Order: sequence, then structure tokens, then C-alpha cells
Amino acid sequence: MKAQLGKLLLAELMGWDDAEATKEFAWLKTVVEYKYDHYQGYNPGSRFFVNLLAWLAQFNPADRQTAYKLVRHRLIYISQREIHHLVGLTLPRLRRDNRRAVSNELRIPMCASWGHSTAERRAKEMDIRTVFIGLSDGARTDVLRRLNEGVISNEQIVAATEISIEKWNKLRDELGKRLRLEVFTDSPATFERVCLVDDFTASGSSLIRRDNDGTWKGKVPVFINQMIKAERFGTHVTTDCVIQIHHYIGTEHSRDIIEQRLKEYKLHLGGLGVSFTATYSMVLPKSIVINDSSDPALVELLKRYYGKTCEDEHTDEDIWFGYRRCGLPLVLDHNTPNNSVALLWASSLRPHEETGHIMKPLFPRKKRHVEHGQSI
Amino acid sequence: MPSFSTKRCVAHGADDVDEFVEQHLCHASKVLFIGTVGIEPTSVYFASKLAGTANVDFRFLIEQRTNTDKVVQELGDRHLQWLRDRLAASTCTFHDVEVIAKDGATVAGRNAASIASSWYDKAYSDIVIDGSGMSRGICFPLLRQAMEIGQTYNANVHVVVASNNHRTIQLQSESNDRADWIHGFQADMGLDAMSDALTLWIPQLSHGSSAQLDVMYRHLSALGVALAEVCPIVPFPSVDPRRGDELLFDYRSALRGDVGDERLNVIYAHEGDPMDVFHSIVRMENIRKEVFAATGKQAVSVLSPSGWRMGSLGMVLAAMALNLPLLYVETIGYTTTSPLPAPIDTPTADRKWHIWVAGSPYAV
Amino acid sequence: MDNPFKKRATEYFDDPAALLSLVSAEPVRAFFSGHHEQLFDRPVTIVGTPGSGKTTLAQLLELDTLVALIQLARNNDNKNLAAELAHFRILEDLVPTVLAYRLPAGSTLRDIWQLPYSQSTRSALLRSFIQARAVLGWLRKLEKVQVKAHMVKVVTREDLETVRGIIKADDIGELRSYARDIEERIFRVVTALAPPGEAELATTGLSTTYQAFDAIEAFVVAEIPNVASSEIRLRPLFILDDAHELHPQQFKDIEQWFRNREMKIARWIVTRVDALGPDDFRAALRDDRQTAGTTPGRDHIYKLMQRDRKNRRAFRTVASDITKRYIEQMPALRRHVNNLESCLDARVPSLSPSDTEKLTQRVAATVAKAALPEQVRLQLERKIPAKLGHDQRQAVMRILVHREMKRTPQTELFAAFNEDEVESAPVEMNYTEGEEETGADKRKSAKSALIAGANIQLLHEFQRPYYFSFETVADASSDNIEQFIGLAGSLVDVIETRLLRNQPLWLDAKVQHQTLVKHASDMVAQWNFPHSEAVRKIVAFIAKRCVAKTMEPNAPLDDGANTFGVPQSEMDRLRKEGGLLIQVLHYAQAYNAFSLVEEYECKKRTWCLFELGGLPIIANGLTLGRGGFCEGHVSELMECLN
Repeated sequence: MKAQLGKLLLAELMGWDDAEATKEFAWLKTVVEYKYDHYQGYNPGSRFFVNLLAWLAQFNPADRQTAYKLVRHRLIYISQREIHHLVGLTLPRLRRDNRRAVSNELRIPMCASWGHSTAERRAKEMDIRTVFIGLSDGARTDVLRRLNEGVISNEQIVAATEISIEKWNKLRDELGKRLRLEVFTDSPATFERVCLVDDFTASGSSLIRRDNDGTWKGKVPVFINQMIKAERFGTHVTTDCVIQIHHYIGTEHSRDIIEQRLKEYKLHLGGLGVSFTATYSMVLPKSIVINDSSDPALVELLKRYYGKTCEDEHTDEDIWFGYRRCGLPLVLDHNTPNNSVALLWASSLRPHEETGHIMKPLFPRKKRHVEHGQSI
Repeated sequence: MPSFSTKRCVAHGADDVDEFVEQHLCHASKVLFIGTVGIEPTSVYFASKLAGTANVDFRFLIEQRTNTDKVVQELGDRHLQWLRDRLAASTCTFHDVEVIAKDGATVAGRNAASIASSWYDKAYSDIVIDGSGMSRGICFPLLRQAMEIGQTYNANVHVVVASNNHRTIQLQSESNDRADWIHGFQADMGLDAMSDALTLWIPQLSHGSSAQLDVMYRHLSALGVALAEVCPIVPFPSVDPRRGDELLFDYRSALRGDVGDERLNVIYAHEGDPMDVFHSIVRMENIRKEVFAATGKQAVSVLSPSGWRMGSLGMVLAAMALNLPLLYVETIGYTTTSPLPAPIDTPTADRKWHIWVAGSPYAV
Repeated sequence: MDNPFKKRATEYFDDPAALLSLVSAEPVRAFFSGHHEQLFDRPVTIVGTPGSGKTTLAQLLELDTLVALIQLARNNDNKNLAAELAHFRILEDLVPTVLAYRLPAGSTLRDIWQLPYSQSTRSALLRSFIQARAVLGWLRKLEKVQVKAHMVKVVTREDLETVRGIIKADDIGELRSYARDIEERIFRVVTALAPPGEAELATTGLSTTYQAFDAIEAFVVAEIPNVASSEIRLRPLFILDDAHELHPQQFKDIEQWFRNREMKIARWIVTRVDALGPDDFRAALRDDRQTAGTTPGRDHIYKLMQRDRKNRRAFRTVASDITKRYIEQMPALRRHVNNLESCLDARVPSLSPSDTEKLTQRVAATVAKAALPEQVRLQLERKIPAKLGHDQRQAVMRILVHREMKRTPQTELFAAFNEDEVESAPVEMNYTEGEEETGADKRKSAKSALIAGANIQLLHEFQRPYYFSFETVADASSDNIEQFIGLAGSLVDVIETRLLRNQPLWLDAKVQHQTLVKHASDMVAQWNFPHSEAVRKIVAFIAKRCVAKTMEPNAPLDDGANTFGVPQSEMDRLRKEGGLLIQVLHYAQAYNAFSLVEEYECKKRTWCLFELGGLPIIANGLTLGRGGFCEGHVSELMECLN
């Protein structure tokens, strides 16, 4: 649909007068061209305006203003270029942490490590002996590779957590070659730092959680278990390696939960010498979260137009505030997380029992399922 | 002593900065510390960390503007007194520096450099420019001067900045109606030879700077330079995730183009990390150089740092490393409707950065 | 660029053709008429506020623009403009006669003043730098139109062989590299973090002046490709733009220097109104009113870019032409509309029935209170023009009744008006430019002003739309092209929205009024220049007084006030004392917040008037007509600053 037509219909739907229409059109012109039209969940020919109109039309005229305000004032859309920028922040963060570790090792203040030949060598060694493992497609290891070309070797970045023994061996061999090239003749060809990379966590649950029966589940425990089972610790990875979990986008909520759980998990692991740390390129603040104490009109809207049929066996019930009630007004360029308020992404399978309402999404979600309801 | 470059730039953030102050500066043989008596308590943060250290000579500038609000003036006086109370009189001096001349011309940078030139001495092992309370027009020339002089004396040269996420008062600034090159950062802009150079303008967007952007755009336009591209830098990530979008929308008129126009290319840089700003600009410059080398045309990038302190620090690093011109609009006065905040005995800072711009780390 | 209304008039266009599509011939004609010979043989100071069109004019005269114009004119485009330039001998037979170069005065030139050297050294550096840049600039302009170096000869004054040798005028290549050398060396001194000492500077030879302006007379060019294949003689024109950014001392220095009658190059200084002292400004006003032949002996000319309010008709023509051209550049809009006038409903609005009822009751109450004899009341009613709407009739009646109540046998029924002509209100246009007004004319316009006053009262009382129609937009522009474009642009925005919504493309009085008022209020709120906050306060104060005066029930000033007057003596004293208020006034004038009219005689006293600009007028609901003034004191303005 052409933008002209879209705006015309929108103004009618919203009952705007000329002054309001002029104002809103200006905003929409900017943001639609810049971001919303590029949403990967759209089909060509039915981009933002079409979806916005359909979305707004589902509401009673009296409710449309509230719905529109959600988009106009609270929606956070992170574009592909922005995510790529967040990917680019990974290595500097890691490097900074490495340098701190080196300084601690040598018992010198960090400021003294610069130009200090032992420290510089050790830092370089640590950089070489780091492996980056993407926890999902969202990790964008291809982008990570491209942004750090010439700085991180291709053989330091791997796309999935289930890496075969052949692959691990190859990684180790290449590591050995690089160490020899840089004259680290005494250094063992084992990785001392494992950086697990993923794009987004809102509740921390897919990363790490403890079930009711006490079992640890999630990507980190899965990874650790695989490593233990395949006896990688000591052979390809040091027994006291640092496991750094880096997300491009986190929330204050997930950051707090993950920190807590990693502590508990480490205790659970008992004798295993590995340590954990969690870092983020960007942390979304609590202030963006929509919950029961948010604007009453909005909360009421989210609940009234909610249909249970968007739930499935992986999600909880009553997720008008999104999975795990994360209450995020968040859309990512490639997909909308189900931690976002349902009204943004949900579609009903069937009409609502009582109201007959069918939910229409503004940014439809592709269900790319991993496990336990959390998927992006 | 060699200095930082695009390939290597030593920086510390957060608590690492305090460690640096304690472990390096406090033990350095002789330190020249140049700061400003500012409006926010963070302007005296580093002075508070170094108070009582025997080897430091403190020199403070007091920026003089004609338009000064009573509350703003009081805060300045308060911090001046704070410094006087805590620093030994023999080690610290205060100097007024005129920011805007009576006829409206910006003279801040030139004045500051002139005043500071007499302070240098080869006895100093370390020179620190504390930009926490300084305006850009003064901080950047002082930094460049420190680097040039410091290098001839084989001294370490540092710039430090402390800030808080929330200011103690909300300031409204009144800007000048003309744009200026930051003193020492004009490069070749204004020479006839640059008349036909393609100009790439890289303005840093921050809240409340629409008028300045407008003035700068007109200035560039008046130079007759061909403005080939505008690459606004927006803060991302930011404390407010929508900030970048809002800024691009609010300033589309000042930038003479909406996002999506060919001439506009957005650059992202971490709101609180000057190193990210620095590297984002370097990356962009590298690409641009390749492109323009192929066309054989002359091109120049003009940077415009905003009032967003951390970010603008990244810009001056890029300007120094790549010899790029810096264009800005000076503030002629501040007003506030906020009440006088309570005095703070020991200032704290949410964000701290230290950049080691020249000296021992680069000697390898 | 999709919406030219968003483009600032003060800016440079990348491409001459783009500029030419938007430039109107009328301002050019206005600028050059009466003086054109003298504009090239003696120094000229051009005065205007930002947006008044001075930058456009300067760019128009540059060689590449002239060449582009010539090429367009050959294809029958822009013929008016070409004709005007031909009339003033800037083009002869479609060949340029002028080689213009424009140098902005800010930054580097002003910085020279800050160098730690004697005044004479700084003056030498300034003059040398200007001349070196001018020479380089002229050569570059020639290059831009494909004139090769070997095709250029520099003609210098006969008696100045030595200077010719020093500047190396015999060889263009050497001329250029020498000028470049001078330019660069001075540039490095000015932009250095720490400049060299004066003694050191003396060894470089930069303390003596590079003298090109004295010697150069013309550039003779063998041909200009695609324009002329035979020899052309070009008169060099140097334009120093934004000269108010120089230090006042530098400004004087340059004015002095330019007065050298031996100089053959044309030289213009373009500056903002606040850079002139009041005496100079008065001289400028006088100059502006002179016609050709009356200033042969003067060694200096002033040109005002913004003229007296008298010339509203002229600006309306410019405005109309500009909008036509701008709409031409908007593909979607131009299919439906070719001028703005046709979209703006000029019909007089009426109050709603309920408001009319209220008004009628109020007026009836007034009439009752006045207890006038029936005959008098009928007499008053007969004076009211029949064609007015009911609501206007009521409002005018009310004023007349109040006047009657105050009347003594000596006073006129229609209040005394100013000695100069009274501008018509938007309701009627009787104005004829330049003609002497008869007594009847004066009474007629006084009536219009009274009706306007009634309308404004209705605006404040009932929000009855007052600002509408194309003429209003033009009149509210303070003769400033950029201000006009802003106002017109706000209306075009709404028209575009209607186009988008498939609605009829005309705006009624109410929509126009609301849009214009919002735009004006936003602009005033967004003023951000030095002391803008103080200016806003003063404007608010004056506006408040004017509104109060305008709302006085007997409308003593007919259409009300839009000006604040203080005794001239107080102004003189303020000038002597100096201080913050003077600075504030400078910037207020520079940005059209208000303009100063000094030595104004009225009621046997001499006043200094602060006339509000178009935007504050609209934002506050005051008359755009000549209006009267409220009396007050400088001390009241000072109060605003606290």
C-alpha cells in the first residue's frame, strides 16, 4: 500500500483533524521509512501501514487513541543496524574484562598493565585463547566475524553449541597454530575463556532456570552438561575457564535473575573449576516495562482485547503482558519476542469465547521455537 | 612520548578510573591538574580524589559568561569555596576566562590556551585535563595543547571526565547565533583550497540542540561547501531506548532531511562510552576514505560535538587522531528554573572515564 | 528536496539551477533601481536581517549562477530575471559584466582581532587575508565556468606597475600561488593554538599588507565556453558577507579602507541591522528613500534589504511570485494548485449564532447604559458601512457608542490618526502607493482601521478569526523572505494534508487563523539566539500593553497598538550608558522581534518606537496595520530583564 493511501485511511480511522493529521504524518513518515517498514515479519506489499490499519481497526473507535499511543510513545523498535552495533560492542567489553583478569593475575593495577610487557603478552594470549560460541541464530556470529575481521580469527567463532568432536579438534589445532605464530610456545592449546553469545534475554529463563524438581535447565546447563559429558574440560577448554555469557540485549529484570541463578548454579556444580560472568551490550531499563501499575487505560486495553487462543503449550496463561509478564513494548527487526505485550504480536486462532474478538498483530511473530516458551 | 592512535587508545571506565587515580596519579612524581569550577558537583569529583596528594598542582578555570542566572552563579561560588577549603592554597590557583567577547565573538578556547600556556613545565610527569565541568570550547583546545606540549616534555597526558545520569539542576542554555571552529581544530577549513571539497558533516545529536544544529548547518552552507552527506550520531544504546529515534525526528528540520533521505546516514554510538564514539567515527572515516580515494575527489569530514559530555569526548579523540575539524556553537549563558540543590560534601559519579592520550602505554 | 518551503532562504544552493528556479525578479529590481551604476563604483553597505534575501542576491551575482541563468534565458526560462539584470548592466547581450566573490566574515577574520599584536599589524593581516581570498575566489569562479588560466588577463591601474609586479599579476599561475601563499601563512598564524610572537611575525613579512584591491581594475577573459567566444571584460565585485561578525573596530577599519576612491573594484559590505549605530541606520533610511541622481557626491551608499512598511504592495508581489515558484517545485501539489492565493479563503467569517447573541446582548447593554438620544444613536448607525456582517456592525457600534460617551465637542468622531498614512486592515485594501492621500482617502482608511479594531476586539472576545488571506501572510512577514516562507509553508503543510485526504484544497478563515497563530507562537517560543529569553520577555510585555490598549472599549487608536513608544531622550540616555538592554535590543532587531524607529514626532513630542515584528503580532492578536503605540518608559523595559 502506498504511504499516501495509508495515511489517508489512518486519519479517517483515528478521526484526526487536519492539524493532528499533519503532526502525526510527520512522525510516521520518519519512523516508518527508517524502521517499521523493514520489519522482517512483513510480506512485501503488506508493510507497516497495512498492518497498522488492520490492527487499529480491531479496536472500538474509543479505544484506538490508547492503542495508537502505545505505538507512538512507548514502542521500542530495534533495527538491524542497531543490533549490529550491539554486536560490535561485544569484543571491546570482553577485552576490557580480559585486561582486568590479567592485571589481577599479575597483581598489578590495571593502569600499570599498559605497556607492561608481561601484561601485554598475557592479554594477547588470553585474546587468542578465547572462543566465541553462538547460543542461537540470534547470536549473529557472521556479523561478529565480519565486524572483527583481522582481529578475531574465524576459527575462534563458532555458530552453535552442539559442536562435534571434529570441530572441537579443529578449533584446538588452529588455536595451537596461532599460539605458535605469536611465539606463545609455552602456552597450552586450550581455550581459557568461552564467550557464549546470544541476542536477547528478557526473563533469563531460556538461558538458565531451575525446574520444580531441582534440575537445572536452559542453554547454559545444557552447554555445561555437554562439555562434561564429552570431557572437553581439560582437553579443549581449561578446567578453570571463564564462561562469559554475553547478550546483545538484556533487561534489568533478566540481568538480576541471571546473576542470581549463575551464582546458585556455580554452587551446584561444586568441584568444577569454571566461573561464570554475564555481560550485555545493552540493558533495557525497568521504566519501559508495562505492568499493572502502568497507565490504567493501556492496561485495560491489553486485557480486554486479549484472547487466550494465542497461548500455546509453551507459554503460560494470561500473557497479555507477554511471556513471563515481562511487559515489554519491544520489537526486534527480525521478530517480535513473546515477552512483549501480546497485543503487539499475537493473533487469535479462534474468536474470543465471549467477545468474539479476533486478535490481530501489528508486528506478527514467527514462532521459532527453542524450548520452554521462550523463543525469539 | 608517542600518543594514542586509531589502532591503540588506552582508556579506563567506571571503578577502573578510581584505581588509576589512586595507583598512578597519586604516586606520580609531579602532576599538573587543569580543571574548571563547574555547576555540577561532578566537576570537583577528581579534585576531591586528589585532594591531599602532595605532588599535584591544581589550576582551575572559571568560565565567565555575561548571562548568568543567580542559582547557577551560586553553584559556581559554592564549588569554588569547596575547592578552596580542601586544597592547599599553595598548590592551587583560580583563573577567570572570558567565553564570549562583548561583540558576541567566541573567544573561549583561545583565551584558555593563552592562560594555560604559562603553566607548563618540564618537571611535570603527568598532565591531567579534567573535562567534567568544562565546556567543549575550552576543554578541547586545552587537551590538544596538553598533548603537544606534554609530548615535547615526555610527560603522560590524560583526560578525565565524571558525570551523573541525573543532573542536580536542569539547565537551559542560550546559544550564540554563530558557529565557530573549536580553537586548534580548524584544520584547513576556510582556506580557498577547500572550497570545492566534498564535505561530510557528522553532528552529534543530543537533547536541546536543535538551534545549534541549525546555526551550524547555515555556517557550513555559507562557506559554500558542497555538503555531500550528513551523518548524525545518535546515542544508542542509551538510557532511554527511544532517544535516538526521537532525536532524529525532532531534528529532521535542522538536518535538512528526513531519515531515509539519501544524504542522511545515521551512525550509532554508545551514550556513555566515548571509546565507542571514537571507534564508530574511525570506522566511518576509513570507509569514506576508500570511497573518495576511488573518485579522486577531495573530501573532508567535519565533526560537531554536542553537549553530551561522554560522547563529545569520543569526538575530540577522533578529531585529534585523524586531524579533523570540529565545528560547534558556544553557549553564551545558562538559566535554570530549578531550585538551588543541597550541597554535597563528597561528590559521586555514575559515569567516569579516563583516556590516556600520550605517554608510557604507547612507548612500546 | 521535496518541500522547498522547508528550505531556508539564507542558505546556499548546491546547484545554480535550483537557486534560479526559486528566485524572484522583483527583489532584484528593487535592489538595483536608482543606483545601479553607483553600486559598482563606490563602497556599499547592505543592511538586512537574516532571511531578507541578501545571501540569495550575492549568490545570484556569482559567475556560475549568471552563466546558468544565461543558458536558461536562451531557452526562454527566467527571462524576467535575465531582463532585469540586463537592465542594470550586469548582463550585456547575455554576457556577464561582473565577477563576484563572496567572503563570509565570521570565524577566521574575526579571530584576527584576538591575536596578540598591535592594531596596525592586525589591520594589515585582516586586509591581506581579505585580498588574498578575493583574488583566489575570483580565479576560482572563473575556473568554475571552465575558463582556463591562460585565457585570463588581469588589468591593473596604469600607475601601479610596482604593485602589479609584487602581486605577480602578469602570470595567472603565479598570481594565484602567491595569493595562496599569503592566505595560508596568515591562516596558520590565526588558527594556531598559540600564535607566534609579533617579533617573529615581522620576520615573515606578514605585517605589511598584500595590496591587490588598489591595483586590480578588471579581469579580461578571452572567452567563456558556451556563453561568449570573444573577449569579455569583467568588473571584480567583492562582497564581504555577515560583516556584523567582525569586531566593531574591524568593521570600521574596513569601511574606512573601502572608501578609498582610487579603488576600481566594486566592494560591498553586507551586514545585519544591529551592527549599525543609530546614526548610520538613519543615514541608511535616508539613502533608501533617495532616487537616482541625488547622490552623486556621496562616497558611500547604504542599501536596505527590508524596506519601510509603506512598500507592502511590492512585497506582496514578491511573495506571490515566490509561492508560485515554490509550488512549481512540488510535483504532487502543482497538479492541483498553482498559487497559494486561490487556496486561502478571503471571505470574512462570522461569529457563531450563540456568540452573536452574546455580543448583541452586551452591545445592547452598553447602548442602554450610554443613554444616548435616539437621534444620536441613529446617526452613529448610519456611519457604519452597510456591507459589514451583523457581528462586525455590533462591534463597531459599541466602539462608536463608547467614543460618543467620551466625546467633547472638540474631538473628532474618528480618532486622530498618525500623520503618516494609515495602513488598511485586511478587510479593505484602498492603499495606493506613492500617491498623496487626500483628506477623503485618509478618512476612508481611518474607517478601515476602526473596523479592523473592532475585528481584533472580536478576536480576543470570541476567538473570531482575524488572520487570514494571502495579503495577511505577506504583510506579516516584516518584509523578510524567510519569515514569509515559514508562514506560507505552515499553510502549505495543511493544504498538503488535505490533498492527502482527498479533501477540497482551500482553507477557511478559521483554519488559516489557527495555523498562522500556532506557527507564529511556535516560532517565538523557539527563538534561540543570544538573549532570546530576554527578548521574549520584552515582547510579551509590549504585547500585553498593546492588547490592553487595543481592547479599550473606545478603541482610541482605531485598529489598536502594536508598538511601544518611549521618549527619545530616554533612549539617548540608555545608549550613552550602555549595558545589557542595549545588547538585547540589538539581537531583537536582528531577528525581527521588533524594529526601532527613532526620532518619531507625535503629539509635539519626540519618541523612540519599538514596532513589534510580524510573528509576535500574530502570536498575540494585534494589528498588522500601521497601528498606534502605547506610551511608556525605558525603565519598564529594564524591569523585564529581571
